[in-house]
Amino acid sequence: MAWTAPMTFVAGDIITASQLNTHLRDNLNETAVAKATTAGRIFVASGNNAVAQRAIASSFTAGSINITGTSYGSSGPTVTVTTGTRALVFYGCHMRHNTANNAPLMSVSVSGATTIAADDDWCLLSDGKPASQPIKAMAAHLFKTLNAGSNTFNMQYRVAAGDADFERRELVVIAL
Amino acid sequence: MAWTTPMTFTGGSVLTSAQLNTHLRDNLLESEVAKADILGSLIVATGTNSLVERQIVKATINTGIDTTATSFTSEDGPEVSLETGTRALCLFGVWGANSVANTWLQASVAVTGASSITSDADLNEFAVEIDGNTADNPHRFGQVHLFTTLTAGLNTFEMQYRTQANTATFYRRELVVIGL
Repeated sequence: MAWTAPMTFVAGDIITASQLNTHLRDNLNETAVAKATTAGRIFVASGNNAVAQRAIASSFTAGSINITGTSYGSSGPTVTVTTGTRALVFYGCHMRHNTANNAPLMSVSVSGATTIAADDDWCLLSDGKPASQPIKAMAAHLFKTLNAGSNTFNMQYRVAAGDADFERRELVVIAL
Repeated sequence: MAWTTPMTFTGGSVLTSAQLNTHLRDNLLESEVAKADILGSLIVATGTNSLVERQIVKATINTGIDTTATSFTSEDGPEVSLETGTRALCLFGVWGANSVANTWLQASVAVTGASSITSDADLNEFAVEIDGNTADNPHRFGQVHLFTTLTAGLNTFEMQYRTQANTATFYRRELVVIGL
């Protein structure tokens, strides 16, 4: 049942079962404590007088991959969570290009309820370095146009030319 | 008192004080508004029908430190301590440079107290790493890490540092921890 604005009680009136069910039972069932199921979950507004439990999830892959593709390819890690229309995503890795002054790039795509291709607009990249000299850093992006539901966030990689290595790859998603 | 699934009231029944105490008083005392105490804190689930208030804490040190340590070493922090469940979201950043070109330096976060996450292998996984620079030329980078295997309780998060070789300098060190 949805939330109902709590009634104002008047001295002398009889409280009915229907009123208690609406204003006590049903409203309590809309609170965060009623919706809590899993340790570590947070609560966000899902609309007027409505809250939802949301997850903060992560995935880490230690191993190294070598990328030669110039378009974003799917190589993980991935995180799947239930979201509203927004999610705050952090993603990073240790990356190096094997040719001087060439850029390795990493971004995030979304699939499932929503389809958003990985894009340079929110990529992490490093350029202008000597061959095989790495950085390890992270980028963040707020996705604001998701379709509510189960969404999968996937780290993807590309190069402009040549080849690059990516390792110790971590993806953190705060579902909103 | 713990949460009790709100009862369904039936017309003609007598409403007792015990019912109001259980289903109204005690349940309201388990709600987020009853748990809220500190401005800016988060309310998180600790399990089924159970909430707790968690803090977001920060420590910043803008002065520089030098280290020649090749294993992660405790310098002067920054450091924060807070109550957590089994998870915490950690955000940290640092400005760093090495005295010799193309020599890496790392900053990471160790956890002590209720938990122990202190080995070089563990901290290496989510460290900020700066490499491939001209000598004494810095970068300032950040990192985010979700700790998922903490022991619930009072945990201390401390930035630690190491270098591949030579002398690494770290400035403008910031650590933010969100207890979950």
